[in-house]
Amino acid sequence: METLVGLNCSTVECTSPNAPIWQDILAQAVTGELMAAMNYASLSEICDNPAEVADALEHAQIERGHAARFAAEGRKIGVDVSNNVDAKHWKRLREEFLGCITERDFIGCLIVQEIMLESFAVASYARVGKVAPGSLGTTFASIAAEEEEHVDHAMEILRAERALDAQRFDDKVYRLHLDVMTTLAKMLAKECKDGHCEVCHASCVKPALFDVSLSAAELRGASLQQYLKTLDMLGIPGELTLAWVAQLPV
Amino acid sequence: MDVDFALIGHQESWRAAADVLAVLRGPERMRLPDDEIRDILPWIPPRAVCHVEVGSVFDTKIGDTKIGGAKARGLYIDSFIPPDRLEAAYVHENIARVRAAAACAIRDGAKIVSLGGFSSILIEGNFDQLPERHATVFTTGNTLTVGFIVQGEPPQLNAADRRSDRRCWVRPRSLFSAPREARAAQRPQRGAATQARGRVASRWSSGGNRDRSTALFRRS
Repeated sequence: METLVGLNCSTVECTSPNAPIWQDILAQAVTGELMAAMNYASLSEICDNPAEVADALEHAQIERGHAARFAAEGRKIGVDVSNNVDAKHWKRLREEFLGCITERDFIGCLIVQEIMLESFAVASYARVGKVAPGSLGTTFASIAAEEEEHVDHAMEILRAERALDAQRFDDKVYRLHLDVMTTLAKMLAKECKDGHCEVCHASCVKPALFDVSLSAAELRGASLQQYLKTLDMLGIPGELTLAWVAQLPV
Repeated sequence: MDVDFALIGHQESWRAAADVLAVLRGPERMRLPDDEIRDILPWIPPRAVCHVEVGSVFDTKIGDTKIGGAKARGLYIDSFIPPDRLEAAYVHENIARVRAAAACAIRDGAKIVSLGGFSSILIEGNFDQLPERHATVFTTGNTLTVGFIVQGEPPQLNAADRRSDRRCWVRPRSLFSAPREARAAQRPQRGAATQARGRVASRWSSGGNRDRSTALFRRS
């Protein structure tokens, strides 16, 4: 497989007692960005229009840039930020995206990447951006804003698609929701009940998030809120999406 | 399709909120633990939760027009104000929730919207706090408003003359609670809530590119 990004990490002595917490948060972020880059690269393979291919590859490059920026923030605080796109939840998310690729389902790909995964990224980065110190916080906030732009761009296509056949579109979103959001909900659960996530470098970071004024519940809540708001913007009835979210595992 | 009315409310207890979520989850899924409900509910943006249909079983005459069996279709919109966040510290957050709920009602084309429970108190009769209303009318009434909706004009409200054909399974705070309101009307007004409601009760307010898109996102 092609190397997506060269993180070129070097281990430096940790300078903050909270550095191991940021290290795990950054590891999740880098993994998510690398997965997004892989998804866009895959998307480029099913685009017919050369301009669309170029755009998908450009998006992949942007996501790799985000990963590199997160990794650089890790180095600033003296931690080596690892990543693992084969970690169990991330791998499952990738497989779900590849299912859309196999079906050459361009709209399905956008729904998974832009509506579901980016909602999670935008909301969680924004929360981290508010509490993380210095340039670490600035970077998270800045990347959250950039990811939000991605979502906004995709909304135009998806709204147009829904206008053609709302019922069909909503059914598709629901099918993808059952797969992708169920996996994301397990990732975002307050406790990792299914064992180690395979991204945190030692034990699960979730119980330690309070030390940096975060909590797993807050990150989950903000992500689900962002997801619901994004579905609202698509025009999917709120009572429908509320039931979808209420049925997710906790 | 536009609805005749919308009812904006919120759950009065965590138990009521848990019941709502349990219905949404369906009988095949286990109820959410209380701590999860307390973690999740505050993040839910205001939104329609269910449809409500109300009708009159008796004939009513307005002028020469007989409107027997009148029915009205509506929505219950929950602002998802957490039951333990009604105090002053959350007033801005809660007003934002009521505004968002009002926006839902306007977007769904509700002709008349009732601000139930704490919602009316938050707005305190200042309907300018609500979003652009277009043709939607907001009231602070609760049960009385439902009566108006069903019967078309201020009725001689009599519980025996009404039927609430509710397909809605939520118990929004203060909505459909005629006995409690009737009791409240009989006793001297007291407290901020009652006074606020009293101030507004007589007022029926009406009034109411992204050039940077790349080719990928210009798909037609």
